Amino acid sequence: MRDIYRGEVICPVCGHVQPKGERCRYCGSHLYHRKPNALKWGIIYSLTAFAFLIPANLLPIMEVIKLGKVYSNTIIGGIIAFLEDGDYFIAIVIFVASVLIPFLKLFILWFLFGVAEFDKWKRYRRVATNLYKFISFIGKYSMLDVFVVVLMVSFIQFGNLAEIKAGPAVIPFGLAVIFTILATEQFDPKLLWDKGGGKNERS
Amino acid sequence: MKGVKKGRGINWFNLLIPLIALGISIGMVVKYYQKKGLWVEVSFKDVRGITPHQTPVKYRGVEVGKVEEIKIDKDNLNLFILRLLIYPQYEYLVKKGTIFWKATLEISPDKISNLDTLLKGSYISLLPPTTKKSELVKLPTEFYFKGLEHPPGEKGYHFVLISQEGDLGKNAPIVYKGVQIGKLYSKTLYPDGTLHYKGLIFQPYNYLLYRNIKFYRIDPVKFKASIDSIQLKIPSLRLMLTGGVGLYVGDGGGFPKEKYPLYSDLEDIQYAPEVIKLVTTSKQPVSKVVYNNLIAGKVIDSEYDVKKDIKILKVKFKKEFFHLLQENPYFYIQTPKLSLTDLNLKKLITGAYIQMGVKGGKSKLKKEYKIMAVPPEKRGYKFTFLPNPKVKLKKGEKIFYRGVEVGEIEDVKLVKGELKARGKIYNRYLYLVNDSTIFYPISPLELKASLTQFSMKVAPLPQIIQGGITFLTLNPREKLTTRHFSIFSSFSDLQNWIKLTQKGRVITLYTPKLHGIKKGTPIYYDTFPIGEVLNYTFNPQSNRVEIKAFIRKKYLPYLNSHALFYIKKGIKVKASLSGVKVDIPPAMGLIQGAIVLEGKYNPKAPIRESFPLLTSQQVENRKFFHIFLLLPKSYSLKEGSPLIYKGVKIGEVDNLTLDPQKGVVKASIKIPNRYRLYFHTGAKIYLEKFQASINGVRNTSALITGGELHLLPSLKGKFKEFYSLDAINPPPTHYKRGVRFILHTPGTQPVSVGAPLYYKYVEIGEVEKVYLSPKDEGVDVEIFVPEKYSYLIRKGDKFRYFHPFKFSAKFLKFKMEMGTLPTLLRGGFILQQVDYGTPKAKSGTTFTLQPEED
Repeated sequence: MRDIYRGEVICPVCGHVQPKGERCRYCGSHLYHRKPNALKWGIIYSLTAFAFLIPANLLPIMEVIKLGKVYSNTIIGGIIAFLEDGDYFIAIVIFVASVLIPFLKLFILWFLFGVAEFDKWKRYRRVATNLYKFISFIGKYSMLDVFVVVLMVSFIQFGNLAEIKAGPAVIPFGLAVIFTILATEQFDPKLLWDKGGGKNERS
Repeated sequence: MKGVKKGRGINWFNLLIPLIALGISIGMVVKYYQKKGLWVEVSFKDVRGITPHQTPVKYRGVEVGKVEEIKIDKDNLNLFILRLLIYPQYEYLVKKGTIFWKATLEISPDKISNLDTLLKGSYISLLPPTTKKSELVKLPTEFYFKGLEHPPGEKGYHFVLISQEGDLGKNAPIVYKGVQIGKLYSKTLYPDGTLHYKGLIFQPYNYLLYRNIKFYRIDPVKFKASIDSIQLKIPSLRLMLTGGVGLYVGDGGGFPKEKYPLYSDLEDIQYAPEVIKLVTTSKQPVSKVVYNNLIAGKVIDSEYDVKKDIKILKVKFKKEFFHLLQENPYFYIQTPKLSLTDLNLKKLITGAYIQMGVKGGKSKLKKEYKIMAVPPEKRGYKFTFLPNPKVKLKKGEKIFYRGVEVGEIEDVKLVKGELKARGKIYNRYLYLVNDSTIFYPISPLELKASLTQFSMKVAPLPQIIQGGITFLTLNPREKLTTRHFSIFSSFSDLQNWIKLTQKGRVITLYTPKLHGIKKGTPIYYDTFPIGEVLNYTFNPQSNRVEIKAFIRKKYLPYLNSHALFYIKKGIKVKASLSGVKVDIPPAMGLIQGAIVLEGKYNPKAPIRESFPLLTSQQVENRKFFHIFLLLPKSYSLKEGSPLIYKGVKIGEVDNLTLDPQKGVVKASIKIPNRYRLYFHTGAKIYLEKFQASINGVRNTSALITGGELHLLPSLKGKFKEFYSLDAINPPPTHYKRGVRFILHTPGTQPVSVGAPLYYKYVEIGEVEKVYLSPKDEGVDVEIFVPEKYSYLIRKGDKFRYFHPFKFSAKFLKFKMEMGTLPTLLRGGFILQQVDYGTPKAKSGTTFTLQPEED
C-alpha cells in the first residue's frame, strides 16, 4: 500500500517503482495503481462464463459411436455411468475437474468481488487472498475436460466399430473456462486490501 | 484514496455481454434438443424386449428414431407409454394416422420373420398413413398414439372366431390346403365360457371370404375316445407344435362375417348341427349311420331309459344326408352275423351299425325316429338272369352301381339243372338299366397293367367281402322292355365280348407248345399293346395248340404275310466282347410273358387270320443263318466267340458240338442274313487266338472271347456252309500276294517268324515260317516278299545273315555293327546281291545262305 501513499507506482511489467505517470519510464508499459475496471469486467466475465456453463453441462460433451449406435453423454451422465460401473476414482476426478472446479471458481470469484466491494467482508481478506492464489493456480488446469475430449476424439477413430466425436457441449465448456480465466485475470487482488485496511499494514 | 480507481459502476450496456452469452447458451440447448427430434408418446400393452435409449424406431428397416423412455400409464397400469424421439429429418412421418407397432421375432409354420430382432432386439415400427411425402407433409402432426398389437404389414380381414372348447396357441396359423393364409393374434375368455379368438386373414387370401367358409380347429394331437370308437389324429408335423385353424371351403358363396364359429374338427363341419334321436331296444353299441355304404351320421351320445328299457341314440347327420330324414327314412341295425354261408366280415370289422334307407316321398322332419328290427322290403323292377353256368349267384346278393346298392338278388332256384336267378332293381335306380344292360359279378380285385402304367382297382371293402354283382349299360339311350338280362362271368369276359363284337378281330395262332401263354397275355407291336389272348384249345388232330387272340382294329393291316408272331419272355442277358446286352421285353412280358408281332403295315394286303406262333429262337433263326466250322479241337473257342471281318463283328459262335463219329468239333456260327453274300465258295476262316511267346503277346482280346474267327470273304460262287480252319494265328503276310521262297540256312543265327529281309537296308520281305530242314542239320526259312519287290528275287541271288550285333577286333582296328531293334530280337537276312542276269524266282524256290565271312 506504500506506493499509493508515496504517490509512486510499480510498473506491472518490469516492477520499476516510479512516480505516478502515464507510462513506465523503463519499459513504456501503462502504469496504474489498480487494474482499471477490475471489478466491473470481473463480474461481466464471470457472468458470461456462468452462462456458458449451462449448455456445457446440459449438452452432451462426447458422442461415442459404437457399432453404429450413438451413445451421447453429458458430463454428469458420464460421471453417473462411471459410478454405475464402479469406477469411483475416475468419476471423482471428472466430477472435481469438470463440474466442481468450474463452478467453485466462479463462486470464489464472486466471493472475492464481495470482499473487495463490501467493507463488512474485509475480515475475510486473508482467506480471500489464499483463495485467489488457489484459483490462479488451478486456472491452467481447467481445460482438462476439453483436453480429455480432444485426446479421445483423436485416439478413438475405428470407423464403424467405434468412434468418438466431440459433443456440442465442448465449445460452451471451453468458452466458460476461458471467461473464468479472464475474470480471474481481470481481478486485482490488491483490491482485497484497499479501504479500511491498515490493520495488517506493516508501516 | 482518490487515486485508486475501483472500476465499479457497471452499466446495463456492459451487462449485455453475459446476457448475450446466456442467450447463446440457451439457444444452443434449445437448438440441440430441437435438433434431437420430435417427441412422441405411444402406448403399448407389451413392451418386452424394448430398452430405453437403445430400441430404435424404424420405418421399413430404416432407423428414424429411438425409444427414449418407458413409462407406466397413470390410469391403466396394464399400459406402457413409450416416449419416442423421432429424428428431425423424419419428423414428417409422424402424422395423424401414422401407426406404430412392435416388431418381434415371429415363428410361424410358414416362415420366420424379423429374424434381425433376434440379434438386435425388438424394435418399434411405424407406418405413415400415406406413402406420398407431399400429402404427408400437409397432415397435422400428432403426438399421442396407440400402438398396434400386430404388424399392419399383415393387412387383411380381421374377424372373431368363437370356440366352445379347447385352446389354441397365440399366433396359431390359419391354414388352407397346407398354406398359411392367416393367423390368430389374441384370445379372450368370455364369461359365458366361450373363447373368442381374434384372427386375421392375410390380404392376398381375402377372396376366400366370399366363399362358403368354415373354420375348424386342428389340434396338435387329438384323442377322442367314446364307448363306440377311439380316434387318434395327428396332423402334419408343423401344426403339431402350434395347433392351428383349418379353413374349409364349401360350395357356394358367402360374405365376410365379423364372427365365425370354430368347429372342433373338419368332420364337425360336415355334420348338420341338429341332433336327432334314434330309439332302439337293441343294446348293441353302434357308432354310425350308414346309407348305401356311406357314413351318413354318427352317434354322438347315447342314453339309456331304464323304465322303458330303450336306448336313445343322439345322432348327428352329415349335411348332405340330412334331407333324407324328410324322405320317409327308416333305420335298422345291421349286426355282424357269423354263419357258414354268410360270413359278413365287414360287419365283424366295423361292428354293428345303423343302416339307413328311405322309402321316398316327402315326410316331415322329426326329432325322434324309431329303429326297426327288420329292414323293410324294397320295391323294384323284377327280372331274371339268362343262365350262365360260370356264374354263381346267391340269394340276397346285392346289385351295386358304382358302389351304391341299387338292387338285390331275390331268389335263386334250380330249374331243370340250371340255376335260375331272379333279381330286382329298386325303382329309384331303374333309369340306370335298359335292354342293353349286361350284368357281371364284381371281382374284388382288378389288375390292370400296361406298358405305361400299372393300376390296381380294388372294389370297396364290403363288396370284396360280400361279393355282389354290377352291370354295364352299353347304350344309355335304349329303352327298358326286357325282363331277362344276360350275365357274364367277369368284367374281363364282358370286355372281351365287347371287344370281339365291336373293336377288332380274332385271329388264330397255332403253336406246338403253349410256352406259358395264358388268357390275357398281351400282344405287342413294338411296345404298343395291340391285343391279347382270349383263350386257347388243344387240337389233337393237328397236335398243336390253337390260340384265339384278339387284335385291335387299328392294327389289322399288320396281319399280312409279313406278320411274325413270337413269344417274348423274361429278361435275357447276353454278354459279349461288345458289351452286355439286356433284352427286356415290354413290361407285361416281364410278368407273364408276351406275344410280339413284327411285320409291315399294309392296309391293302389281305388280312390273314391264322398265323404260326413262333418262339423267339425261331424268329432269330429267321433273321440269321448258320455256317459250320469243323475243327480238330475247340481251340479255346466258346459260345459267343466272334467272327470278324474288317474289324467288325459279323457273327458269333452260338454252339459248339463234338461229332463223336468224325471226332471233330463242330462250331455253328450265327450270322445275320445281310452278311450272307460273303459266304461263298472260296471264303476262308482263320483263327486268331491268344499267344504269348518271347516274340510278343498276340491277340490279347482273344483272352476274353476265347479266340476270334476272321473271315476272308468270297463273293462269287455257291453259298458255302461248311468250313475248316484255314490257319491259326497266321502271320500278317499270310494272305498277301508275292513270292515265297525257301532259304536254307545252317542255323547258326537265331531267326524267328517276322524277321526282316533287307536289301540295301530296306525291308523287302519277312520270315513267315521257320522249321528244321528235312535235308540236313540246317534250318529252312520261308521268306515272303510282296509283289512290289518280287522282281528282286532272282535265281542267282545271294543271301546272308544280317548280323544284329557284330564286333570284330583287328590290329589297331575295331569294327562294330549293330542292327535295328527287331533284328536284335528276331534276327534277319540280307539280300546281298541281286543277279539280274538270272530269271525271276518263283514261289517255292530254294536258296542257300552264303557262308559267313571271316
